Amino acid sequence: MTEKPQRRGSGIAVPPRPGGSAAARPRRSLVGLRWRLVPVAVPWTVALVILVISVILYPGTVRFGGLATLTPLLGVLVIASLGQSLVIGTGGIDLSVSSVITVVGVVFVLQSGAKGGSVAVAVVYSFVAGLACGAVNGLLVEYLGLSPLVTTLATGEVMAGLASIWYGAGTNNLVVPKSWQRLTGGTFGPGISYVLLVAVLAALLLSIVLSYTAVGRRLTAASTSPRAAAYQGIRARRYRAASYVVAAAMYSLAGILFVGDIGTATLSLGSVYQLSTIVAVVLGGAALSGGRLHPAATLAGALFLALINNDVAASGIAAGTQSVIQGAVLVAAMAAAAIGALRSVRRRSLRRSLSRAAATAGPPAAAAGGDTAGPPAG
Amino acid sequence: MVRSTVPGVRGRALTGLALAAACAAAISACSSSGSSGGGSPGATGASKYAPRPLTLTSSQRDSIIKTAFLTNSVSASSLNPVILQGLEQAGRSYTAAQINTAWACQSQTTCKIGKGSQTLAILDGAGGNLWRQITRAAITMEAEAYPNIGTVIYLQADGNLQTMQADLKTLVARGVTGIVTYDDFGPAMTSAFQQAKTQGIPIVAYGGTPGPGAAGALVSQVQSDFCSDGDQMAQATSKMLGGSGNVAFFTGTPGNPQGAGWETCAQNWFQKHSPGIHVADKSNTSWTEPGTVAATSALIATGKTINAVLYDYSLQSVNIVQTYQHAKVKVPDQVTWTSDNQLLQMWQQDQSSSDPWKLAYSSSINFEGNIALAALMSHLAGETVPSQLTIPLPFVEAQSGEYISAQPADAPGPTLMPDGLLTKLLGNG
Repeated sequence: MTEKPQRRGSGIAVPPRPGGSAAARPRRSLVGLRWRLVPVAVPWTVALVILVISVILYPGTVRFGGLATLTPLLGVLVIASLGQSLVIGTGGIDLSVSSVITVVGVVFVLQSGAKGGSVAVAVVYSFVAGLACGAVNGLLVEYLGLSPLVTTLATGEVMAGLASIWYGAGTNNLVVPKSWQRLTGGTFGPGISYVLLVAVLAALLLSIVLSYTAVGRRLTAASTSPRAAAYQGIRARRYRAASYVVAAAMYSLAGILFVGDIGTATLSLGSVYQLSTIVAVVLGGAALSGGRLHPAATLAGALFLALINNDVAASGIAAGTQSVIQGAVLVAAMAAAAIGALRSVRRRSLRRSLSRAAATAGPPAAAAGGDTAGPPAG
Repeated sequence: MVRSTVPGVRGRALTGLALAAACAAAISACSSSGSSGGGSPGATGASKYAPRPLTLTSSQRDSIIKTAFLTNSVSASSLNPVILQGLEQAGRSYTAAQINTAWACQSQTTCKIGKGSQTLAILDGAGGNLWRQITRAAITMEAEAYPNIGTVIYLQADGNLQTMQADLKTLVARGVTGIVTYDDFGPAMTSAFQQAKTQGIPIVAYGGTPGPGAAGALVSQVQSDFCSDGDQMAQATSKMLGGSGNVAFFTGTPGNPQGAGWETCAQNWFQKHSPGIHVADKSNTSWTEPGTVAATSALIATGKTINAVLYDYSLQSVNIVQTYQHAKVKVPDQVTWTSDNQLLQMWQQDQSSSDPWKLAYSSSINFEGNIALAALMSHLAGETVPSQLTIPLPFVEAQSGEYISAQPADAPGPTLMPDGLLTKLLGNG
């Protein structure tokens, strides 16, 4: 709400002081804080509720055994979902995630598991493979204007084919080096996996970059409104294409960590992440049409999904019933997020309507004695 | 056409002689086109589909059977003759040249193995993993024992049903002599198999089969009896646990016939013979490593004490053991189908630890493909082949020394394949 010009003793209106009045500043701070926190608080609240339910139903979830086995899976899901969120933030979708994770795992084992192989070199090769796919996706989607859904599906098929070729070329005889298995299988504290630690750090880093760096803000602008970003001189297309590359880097990281946890390459390594990353991002409150990113919310979405999957599997009920329950819970969670968003939109438009009505009603009646209110100077 | 230059009767006689000679040559050519180029000239009938002669002593035969099933408990007399023939062909000696040919074929879709005119097709619904590669090589190796098989075609569908159906149509169009196939899609392939049969192409399925509903479409289906397998698993488990404890059942995709078969019978066996053993959990893994890890993680989260896990794929029993080790929870005893070198290594290492666990496993049954080829050729030779060839699947407890350090992690244990070929397949040659 813009401030009304103040009036001097002569009745001449003067413009408001820059920064607004003292009363307005705390209110703006509160609004800003709320704007930042609400998109994150809602998914985290839901995730923590599920966590409490999980602990009640299966106390073993938070004992060493449960944490040591669940947190690596959660960590991989978080990392892959963060990558997916970057693409979804641009309004796109990345269906090559599962294939990139798989081919990265195959490349990693092929290089590191062979005689004389090196984990360091394997990491480099793995990232090269993943980034190549991301670069192709970015080029095709952003510079050629192809559909992200079809493009990433196609590049995913290519990667899956390459994985199959390299797997049959000798990877199927190899295992992940013990040193890497020990690192990725290691835990600290009550059983928290190092993989989850990496995931949390990745989410933190992404949050900082997006919120506090010029690059991140430009990416956000390019994702939220490419046209407006372009008018501001931001090379929106370049930043949006880069989203696919950074996303592929995240998938590659997820792949080399996951293959370490599994111990061997397999052509189904990334299969579960095709849809689960998208679900985690949406559960985190992101819109599939694109917009602002909240890595912390994506983390919450991944936590929610991992706990639901774990609890339903632990329940021992029939697989079909498990799928029904999982689907129903996900729909309910997304509906809750959507309703919350709708209410927020309604509240904002109601406030706008009220302020417009107040502005139309006009200023209070002028004092007697010929008050001449002119326009604010300058 | 013979032009007669002699007028009158002599001319007509010469013409008739020439025509008769031409017809005899044509008839001879027609009859020899259906026989093999590599076999005896003019050979017809059953001999066209027979393997090279093989003579084995009874001790050699018993040795082959013991290698195949990992135990002396299976006798030659208990096996169907077609099964026995397949095992014998798999375990016979092959020359170095034949081994090299079989190895070369692994990297080719269409491979010439001899001068014969017959074409064998191997159609794999998935392919890729080491078990499938070894089985393919074993079939190719055995094909070289049949002198009239000159070409082997291999196609794999990478787990895609449409690709499998298209591949089958391709093979039919190419007029192959016969097909052996691993059907990963169950009854979904039945109509495609029926169409192939209508076109005159005989098919034998091994391992993954379409089930009893496809009996009319296939020559035979080679696999173990899932219910009997469940009984065997339950017996092995009961022996390891001393008749009491909690067990968990793991299998691949929900509702798969293999899992449904053995789980039901294993549970019934426990109820009848070892009521102290309680089935505390049943999980699905989709037969993937990530799925197995997730299922094991969920089981650990329940806090249930599990004394043994029964699973139908040893490659992923490795992941079950690893996940328990990561969780620092006592590793349950493992009862699993097929053999895995890494699993044996883990078992062996843990025997001297504070957390030893028992392991019972079965043969890797790569010879299913060999039996399928023997059934196919027997059928082509006009012999009666049962529509179901059921192989036994005994489970044996692991013994020290069974882990082979020179072999890779997922080496499938003892096979009937020549060592030279196995070495190449395992990447050591």
